[in-house]
Amino acid sequence: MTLKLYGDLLSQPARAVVILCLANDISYELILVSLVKREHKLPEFKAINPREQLPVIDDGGFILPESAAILKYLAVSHHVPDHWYPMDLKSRARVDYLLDWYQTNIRQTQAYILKKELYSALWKLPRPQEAEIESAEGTMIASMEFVEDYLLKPEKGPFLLGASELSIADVLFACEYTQTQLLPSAEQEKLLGKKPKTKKWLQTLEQSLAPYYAQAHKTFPELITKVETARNGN
Amino acid sequence: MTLKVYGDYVSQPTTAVLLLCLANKIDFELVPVNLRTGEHLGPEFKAINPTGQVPVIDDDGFILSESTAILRYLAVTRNVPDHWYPKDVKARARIDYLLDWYHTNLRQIAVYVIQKELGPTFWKIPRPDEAQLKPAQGKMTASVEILEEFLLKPEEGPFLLGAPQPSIADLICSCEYTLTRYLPQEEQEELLGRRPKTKKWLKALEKTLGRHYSEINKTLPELLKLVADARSSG
Repeated sequence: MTLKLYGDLLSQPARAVVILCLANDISYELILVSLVKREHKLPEFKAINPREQLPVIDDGGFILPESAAILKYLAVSHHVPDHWYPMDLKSRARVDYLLDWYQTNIRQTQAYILKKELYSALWKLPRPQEAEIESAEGTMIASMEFVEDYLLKPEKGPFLLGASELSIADVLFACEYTQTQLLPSAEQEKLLGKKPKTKKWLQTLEQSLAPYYAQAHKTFPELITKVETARNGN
Repeated sequence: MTLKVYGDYVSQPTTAVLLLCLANKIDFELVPVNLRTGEHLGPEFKAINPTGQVPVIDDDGFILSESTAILRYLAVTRNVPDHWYPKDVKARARIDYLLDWYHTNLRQIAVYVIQKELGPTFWKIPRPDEAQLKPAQGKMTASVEILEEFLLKPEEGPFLLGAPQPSIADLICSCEYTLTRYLPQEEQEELLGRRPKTKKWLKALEKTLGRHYSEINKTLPELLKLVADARSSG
């Protein structure tokens, strides 16, 4: 039975899973759960994931949520090339560390953008309290500085922690960075303008993953337009 | 060389790592990093972990941070019994899913308890008002509810996702619940009173881990008293 992936390419963890599948010829069927139409809140989807979060996979009846867990599971069960999620215990621990760190740090990028831009642009929801937005913003800024200063070591290799080849952590992180394109350009510039290592890493990654990167991001420009229109209309 | 664990008993991810070591007779030396005096933010510790977070391990020169990455690494390098972090690909994916879920959900217990009680007691941070506490409180309550409703299946087995024996996810999740003991009695009752499955699960774990549980919580009564005193003196 073909692997089913419940998701929406507007969500960055779903894109990361799609990229892993495309790059490794893992066949899958994408079942669109539209975030814009709030289909993740419908009873049909809640029967699959009561927590209403995307992505979720169904691998012959085995249901698994949480993007990082999905990436690990697919890498191991489909025997993808070792660099994606290395067998060597210490190398694997380093990738696990990056993925765990991601959860409470880089992932705040999405929390910030969701609260600041998407709530109103997509769903006409009230803007959350300023303090909440600021707290996510603070974590996002600090996390991106940490990536630039400590997690990228271009003198060793082009990928996270100076690896010579990319891992599932690089893909998950990078999809989160793409999300910053939803911010006003002045804010994007402030976030990434003075981060040469980060820019270079993202470029290398995009090149290594072409054309899968582009394929996974094919519906993303629509979202950018939608958010920009909403921003200019307000 | 003996495994070094940098940490503090007041940090619940540290205690989860210590529990795994104690329960499996993994030799370790606890290198205390006093969070109450801010030792984790000093240059000495920042040289080991620039994020200033505990726990960190030093395994003969291999430095690893992020508690969940540490738990996975110790489980696989020390060949602990399979139930802690199963080799079976699907069983392992379920544990990975729980650990990822923990980060962005149950970990809000710490965020809330630190804001409300530990910050004002130990670091003289002004007591936040209700509105400031609301986001973390909401996420904490929702997570505690998900655990009760969806993650515990006592009809299948006493541990998370109905497992017959505990995993590293049980360790990290249960240590987070220990933090609720810093809250006023009525708030503890509100969180756990109507959650019989959760109570039973915590009891089962305490029974399984016996004296190791008392060992990691040996400083708790003293800390609880400090927090209660600070609260009553306003």
